[in-house]
Amino acid sequence: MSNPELVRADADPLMGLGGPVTGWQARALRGSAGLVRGRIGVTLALGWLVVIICLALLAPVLPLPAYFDFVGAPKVALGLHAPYLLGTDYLGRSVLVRLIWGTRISLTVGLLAVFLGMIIGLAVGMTAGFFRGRVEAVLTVFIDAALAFPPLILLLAITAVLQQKLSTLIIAFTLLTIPSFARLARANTLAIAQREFVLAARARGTGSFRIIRREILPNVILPTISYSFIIVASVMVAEGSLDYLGLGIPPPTPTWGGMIASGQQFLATNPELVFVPAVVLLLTVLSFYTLGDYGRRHLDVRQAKL
Amino acid sequence: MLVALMTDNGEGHLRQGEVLLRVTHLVVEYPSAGGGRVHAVSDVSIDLVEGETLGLVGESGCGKSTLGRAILQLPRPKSGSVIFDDLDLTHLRGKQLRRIRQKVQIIFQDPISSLNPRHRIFDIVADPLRMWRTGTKAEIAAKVRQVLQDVGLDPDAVGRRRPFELSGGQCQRVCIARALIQEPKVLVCDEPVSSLDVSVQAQVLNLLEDMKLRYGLTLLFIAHDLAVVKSISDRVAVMYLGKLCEVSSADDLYRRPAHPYTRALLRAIPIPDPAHKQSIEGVITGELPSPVSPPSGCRFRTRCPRADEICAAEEPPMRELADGHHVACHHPLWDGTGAAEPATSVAVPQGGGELTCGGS
Amino acid sequence: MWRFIGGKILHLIPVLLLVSLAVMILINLIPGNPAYAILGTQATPSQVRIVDAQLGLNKPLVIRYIDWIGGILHGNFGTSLFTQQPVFQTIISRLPVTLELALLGEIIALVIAIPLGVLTAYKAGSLIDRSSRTVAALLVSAPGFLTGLLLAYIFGVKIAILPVTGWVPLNQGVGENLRYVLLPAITLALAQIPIFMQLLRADMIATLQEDFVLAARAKGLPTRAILLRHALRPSMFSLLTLSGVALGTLLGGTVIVESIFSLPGIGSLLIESIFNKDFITVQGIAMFIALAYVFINIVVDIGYGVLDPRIRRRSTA
Repeated sequence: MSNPELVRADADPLMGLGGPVTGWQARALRGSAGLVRGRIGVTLALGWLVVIICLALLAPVLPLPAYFDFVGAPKVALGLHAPYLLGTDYLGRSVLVRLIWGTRISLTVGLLAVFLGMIIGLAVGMTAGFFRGRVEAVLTVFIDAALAFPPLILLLAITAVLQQKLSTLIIAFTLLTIPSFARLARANTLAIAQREFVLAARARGTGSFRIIRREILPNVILPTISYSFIIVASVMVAEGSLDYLGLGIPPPTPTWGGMIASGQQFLATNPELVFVPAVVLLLTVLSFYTLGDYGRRHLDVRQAKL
Repeated sequence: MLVALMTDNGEGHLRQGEVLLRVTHLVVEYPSAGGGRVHAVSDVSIDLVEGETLGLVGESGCGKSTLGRAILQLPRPKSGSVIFDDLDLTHLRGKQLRRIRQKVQIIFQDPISSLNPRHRIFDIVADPLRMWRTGTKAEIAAKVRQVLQDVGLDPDAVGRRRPFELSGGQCQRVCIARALIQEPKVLVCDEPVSSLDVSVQAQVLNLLEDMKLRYGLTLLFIAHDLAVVKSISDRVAVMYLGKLCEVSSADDLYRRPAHPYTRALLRAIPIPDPAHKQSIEGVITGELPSPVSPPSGCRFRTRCPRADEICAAEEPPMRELADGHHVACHHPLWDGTGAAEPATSVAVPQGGGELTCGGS
Repeated sequence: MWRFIGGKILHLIPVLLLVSLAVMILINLIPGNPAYAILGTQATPSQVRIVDAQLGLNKPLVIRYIDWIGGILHGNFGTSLFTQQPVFQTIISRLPVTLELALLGEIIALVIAIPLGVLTAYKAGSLIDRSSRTVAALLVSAPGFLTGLLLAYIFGVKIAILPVTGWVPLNQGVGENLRYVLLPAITLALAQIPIFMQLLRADMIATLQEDFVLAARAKGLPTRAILLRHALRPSMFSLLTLSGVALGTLLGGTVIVESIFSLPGIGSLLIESIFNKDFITVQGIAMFIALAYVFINIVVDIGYGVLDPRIRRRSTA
């Protein structure tokens, strides 16, 4: 039986934006992806991510045209004869190049926001879970309030105030992921803090912060990291949704969501304008998700053993 | 040194003179799930003289583990005092309390859970020294090696391992090592062998006795198994439902138990002799009453074959029957004037010495 | 028991206060005076000041907050800057759409996920199991707008059997209503099916390994009876919790779907209000969604506590 506390522990801050992949949902999806699970899936996922990360990092120095250059007639379908393999968008710009530059945005927001959110969330959650009492009550109120807050509003408010920039998105998504990490960290800390080795540490005179650092943190960090991969997947989806709605990074900067949105009007005649960026987004999200899930299964076994 | 006083403030069995640890009128309660309060430890006083081993026995749920932990303030008792080294632990806070904790250590029942699964053995044992920064890296390493060898482990073999790679017995040795490296004065052993295989139990018990000699320890040995307690203790205290029933030297307790409960516990020890018929006479009936609302008067009366109205009305005080032998009972099995009942007919496991077995 | 419920409700109040505070602060951070949206960009400063006074925008933030909270307690969420209608009425009028969408989506998801969950648990490791889990992973990775677009493309354009935009309310014909709600509901369901299915599967596998199932088999009970009557119920706990909370999240999460399929629900109202700079409506919607979410969470928590007494004890310990 899944631990009900842990099932409820995480909540998805981003489900409203079409990325229902985090939270208890993700915990439940243990060992999913039948054919994709296992070493093959993980290798493929890792491979894909390595490729796109390299491309994203090298984008400025690659011998490719700029993302706003016109490289051919509009809406040339993808294929071996097409300019740069993936064809052109509705204005005649290279789809491949725009995808690569779009990767930079999605990856930056996803990785950075989740990394920062994880660190802050861990700190908050472990404090709440370890010290209990009034500290926990106050922190839990804040965490619950943050989770009850409609995420779209937060995103919109922040983007409206701080302009639609990359840094704005990073700040907004960091804020959105903190409560999820905090709740998970708190639940994990509660479980760990009851273990006997924590009591033993206290019994021999270890101070609170040392206990958190040496006893609790190493046991909490591993499931948190696996979980963070899955959160990255969710953030990327949400960020894509924002771009799709026009509320994220505005054109002409290429984003996956933006490309999908602009391609949508040509869905009947040139569906690849939508589906090529869609597939890229899908593969990336799936890869992060597979890695996170694999990490979690792998670690859960170790933890169950102990 | 063992001067007994006939008082009925519950301290009659406490000794005067130099004691290492004195617990007086300790009360531990906590809220229960159903909404009442669990009276885990109700006004218990006990003391430890330097160099002795006090065994604390009783059924599960009698409060012995709680008492052991409450002495260490884990959790803090509701009332009462714990005097060690001229300091009352119940009044200590923060760093002062943490410092004292070095001198009063505890090992637990489940050795594997007592160790952080992510740490290596060497780091586990070195941690207390590193925490208090006693010594250089080299000095700490040397001490760790020394204490690991003392407990019978090869530092090179186990140092880099993790707890789940070791057996239960080995883990308990590690726990002992971790406790000993701080050179404590008192070691509370909370059912340290209950979860180990029988053959390993003997080894760990022998180890504890060796360490006691080598490190000059005073032990509070908590267990539910009377045979184990007898083999290792100098004095024994019997607890029932949060109260002390009987306190006496180990030999005396087993030779002539005064409290009906003690006798029942002794009778319940199985004898490995097919020809012996287990006597059921006087064995207690019924179940442990709820610690949320314990029986009035003597808490054992609901299961005691000798109970009468006095037992329901008045709580029996702890009084001395013979030299160093105290009991809290209105109708003890014998009194100072001579035996009122025949001594237990149980063949008590002989020899407080070594039980040797092979194995790891 | 009542202490448990009381504790939960007590926890609710500061949460809601915080949320409302955050909502008001955030909305007010958004630059752009709505007076201009109403009067147009040619407005003179004195005109703006008059409108400000009318809207109460010249009062300090604290007073506005207190007024607003007081209003909410009376069911008054303010008056829309754009339509001059009470926000509450507008929300209520649009609520049925979103509600029906969310409920239908969840029902479809459960109807498909529960049998699949039981099946894949029973036949764990088989081809059916592995392939459905692959599909599940794919569905989970696909953003909502993507599945929505795909469905719209397939069923609305290629095989044009269902309408892609628009809405017909229930009281004007169930059949018609169903035609319009089906695609968006399926879009929502597709996102939830993999999650529900996997959760049930995981719990079911654990339950099937327990001794009482073995005992039932030894008694000679048929497989179906064991699965459905004995094993399913204890495995449902987490699923029930999840679907309860998911409903709460969905209420605010239909934005994308309503946007793609042009449904007159709360989500699209939100988007419209944002573009209209009608921040009173935005505030009202945010508060309403938060209230609904918190309320549903409390109900689920209490329900869970009723079903599983261990939870009650843990909370009070």
